[in-house]
Amino acid sequence: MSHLILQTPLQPSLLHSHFLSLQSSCSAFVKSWLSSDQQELLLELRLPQQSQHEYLALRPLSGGQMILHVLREGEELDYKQLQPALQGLLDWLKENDAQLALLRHTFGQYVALSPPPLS
Amino acid sequence: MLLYPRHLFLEPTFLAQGWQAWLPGDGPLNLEIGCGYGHFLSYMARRFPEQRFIGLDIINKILLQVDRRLQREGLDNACVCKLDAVVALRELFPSGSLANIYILFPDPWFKERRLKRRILRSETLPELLRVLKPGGCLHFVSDDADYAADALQLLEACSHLKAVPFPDLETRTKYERKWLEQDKTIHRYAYQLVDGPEPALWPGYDPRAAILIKDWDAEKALLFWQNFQPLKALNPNQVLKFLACYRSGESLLLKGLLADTGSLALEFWVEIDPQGQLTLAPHSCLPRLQNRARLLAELADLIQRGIPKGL
Repeated sequence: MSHLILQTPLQPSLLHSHFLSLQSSCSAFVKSWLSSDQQELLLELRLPQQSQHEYLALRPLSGGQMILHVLREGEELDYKQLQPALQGLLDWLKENDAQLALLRHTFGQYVALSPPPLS
Repeated sequence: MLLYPRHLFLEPTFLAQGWQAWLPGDGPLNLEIGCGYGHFLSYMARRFPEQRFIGLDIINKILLQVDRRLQREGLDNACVCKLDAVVALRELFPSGSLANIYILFPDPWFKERRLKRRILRSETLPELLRVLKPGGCLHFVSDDADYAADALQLLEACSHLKAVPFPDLETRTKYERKWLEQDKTIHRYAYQLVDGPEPALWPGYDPRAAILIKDWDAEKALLFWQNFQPLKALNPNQVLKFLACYRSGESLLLKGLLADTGSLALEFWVEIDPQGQLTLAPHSCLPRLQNRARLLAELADLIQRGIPKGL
């Protein structure tokens, strides 16, 4: 499953309450869903080219890290198509936490995200 | 054309029209289970342009190659789908809808404990017969003597089938060429369905309301989930279970898993709007045809049982 790891103390419930600001800067995001235990945020995304829906899940890890992964099974994902939304999401997260760092991602060599992963 | 589950379980045109949506025309519909590199599928689509062909497989990389081949050759009377065959047979083909089924060089699953994965076995034969139209043929080819013997015994014992000559086809699949170079014996069987159910129409789909969740706050949603989550619906062949619950405004999103005997488990998402209407979430994949309305009804009952008293 494709994922990226971030260094940030941000919590899903806080991001859920700020979702409208993400939507205003990146219209591909249509809705946010908060899990019943408040430990996971699902971001519902509409990719314009194929009017296709995706869910991105954000969940805190130990050590002040957070994982984002694409909930997609059984199909190949066009990462290039996803890149603008991923970048929009990273920019928004950075607005909410200026210290945020992208530790690594598995979206393939053709996806360039800034800030770049730490080497 | 390469079709994924979302094209088959969610696409409104397909839901409304069935295969007509992806393979226009009224030519006979044929299915190849395990189409592999698509040599046979493309050969048949070329040779019989008035007929329509569907290939099933589960390996995306190979299916992409087949799709490119079909496009290169302009074969718009054929498509491939990435889907488990058992699910596809049960959910995507009404009774009596197929003129021919081809099972060519299926995996023989040598190990005893894996025999249940064979595509042609006593448990799957009724479904294969159901989707064939009367007079339609089931074709089976294998280089594996044990699997071929088991298949022959099964087909011979079926009173609805009669053996017919295997059609004269000039194509050789990748595996067939390989086995022939090794001087292996190839077993070819063709059986015609002598009687069967009347061809059925593409069925409709009628979701129904479940619960009223307006004015639920986060605390009420959590209470509901704690009560609901341990529940699961069971019938002899299926388990329906829910893995997670999410909330957005006054709507709920449930992540579920449907496990059927003999096929891959399907993950699906159901959204419940404030009016209690159940709908499949846009990303979701859920069986259609006969089972879909029943499953949503079971889900509605399950949700009713999950609502704590006084909520």
